[in-house]
Amino acid sequence: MPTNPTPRLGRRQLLQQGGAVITLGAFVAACGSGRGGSTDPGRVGLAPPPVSLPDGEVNDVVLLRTAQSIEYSALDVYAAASDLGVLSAGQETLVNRFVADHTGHGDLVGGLITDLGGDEFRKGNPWLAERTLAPVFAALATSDDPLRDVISTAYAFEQLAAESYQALVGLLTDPSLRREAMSIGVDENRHAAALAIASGGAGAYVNPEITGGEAEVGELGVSVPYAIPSSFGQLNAVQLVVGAADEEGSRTDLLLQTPAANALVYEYLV
Amino acid sequence: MTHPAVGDAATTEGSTRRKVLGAGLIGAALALTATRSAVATSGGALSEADLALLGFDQGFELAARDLYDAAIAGGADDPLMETLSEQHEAYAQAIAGLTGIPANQRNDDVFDEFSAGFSSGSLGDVLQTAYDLEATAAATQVELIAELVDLDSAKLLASIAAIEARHMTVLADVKGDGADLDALLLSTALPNLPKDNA
Repeated sequence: MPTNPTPRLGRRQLLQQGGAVITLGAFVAACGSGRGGSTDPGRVGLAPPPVSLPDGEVNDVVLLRTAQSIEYSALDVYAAASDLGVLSAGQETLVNRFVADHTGHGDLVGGLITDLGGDEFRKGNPWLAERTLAPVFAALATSDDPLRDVISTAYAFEQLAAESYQALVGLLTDPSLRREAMSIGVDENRHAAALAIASGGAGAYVNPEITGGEAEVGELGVSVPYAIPSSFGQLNAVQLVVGAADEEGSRTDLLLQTPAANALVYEYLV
Repeated sequence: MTHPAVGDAATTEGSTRRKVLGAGLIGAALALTATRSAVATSGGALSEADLALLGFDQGFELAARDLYDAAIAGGADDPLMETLSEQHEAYAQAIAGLTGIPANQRNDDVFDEFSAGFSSGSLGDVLQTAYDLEATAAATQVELIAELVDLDSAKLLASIAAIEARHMTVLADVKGDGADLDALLLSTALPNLPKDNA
């Protein structure tokens, strides 16, 4: 029958040795005081230190500068569309009208910005230019159906502009600016509606989903544009599919969204 | 009278369980009250002025619905008329949901102003008058946005104006003005405002 071996470490010894360990730990810790050093992430090599972006306050000026930039992005779209030379005379007339309207909107928004003491931003939205326009223009250059893609792009941008002004109503702090924004938003909505009709005729008047039917899906798998797409103005992402299919059958497929933090034109941007 | 699903059981159980059930019901009621309170104040209570503006707008939308219905009754039995009637009904109901004002009182002044065109029996007159009505409706929404203090109300009216603007463009094309860019895209209509705000 096994017996319990005699414990090699008695209770008294355990207490004595434990006390010695605590004392030694306190001594070592005291020796290490004042050696905290930098809390920055470790760096390797001679890379320059990262530059912090300035803090961007979101105010009415920033929101209006963003709206103005979207007008100029729309002008960039129509300039590219005209350069392709695929528009009919009637379509070119419509585009010229849109160009005049967007120019006027840009001027109107610019006046609101200067009234608030801000600086205008008379150029396209940088975020849209990099993330959306660059791939769209690349797709247009090699498109298998440039006219289809030009109309799709124009509709998507008019829809984006319309939604952006509607969204501004919920963001601007000055009620009179909300009215100015939505008065332009009304125009952008009518642009989108006119493009839908130009593209789909009477069949594009009303989205059948409004009356319980199903929306028609176009050749690229996207719902065709409707002049009246819903009962209320939506703020959904706008899907844009353009360009020739690659060897796997994929086309350039983008989602355009109303401006958020990344796409705002802060006052430090010039 | 106690609900039968809990009444019989409650009378046969001991007093302790009854107290627990009672306390639970009171707790649930308090929680529900607190939740409703939070919802009601999340967007801020609507001011009397905002309620008056929204009530006015609701009356406009109900008048628009009735005008399209009058056109249909007068022979303009087009699916578009039916759709536009339902759209304006939806706008009145949305305002009712926001304000609690029942959607049952149209603005007779608006109805009277446009009723001749809608009831004329001539499709051309109906379409032209409908275009004018939609232009006035969109202009009214836009103007009211600047008058409203409540942001949720302004956002709702913006979403209505966005689509009423599109109604205009469709009506312009239907009445044969598709090549007239001003008819498609331009509106100089004045808003229809309450007399105190006009």
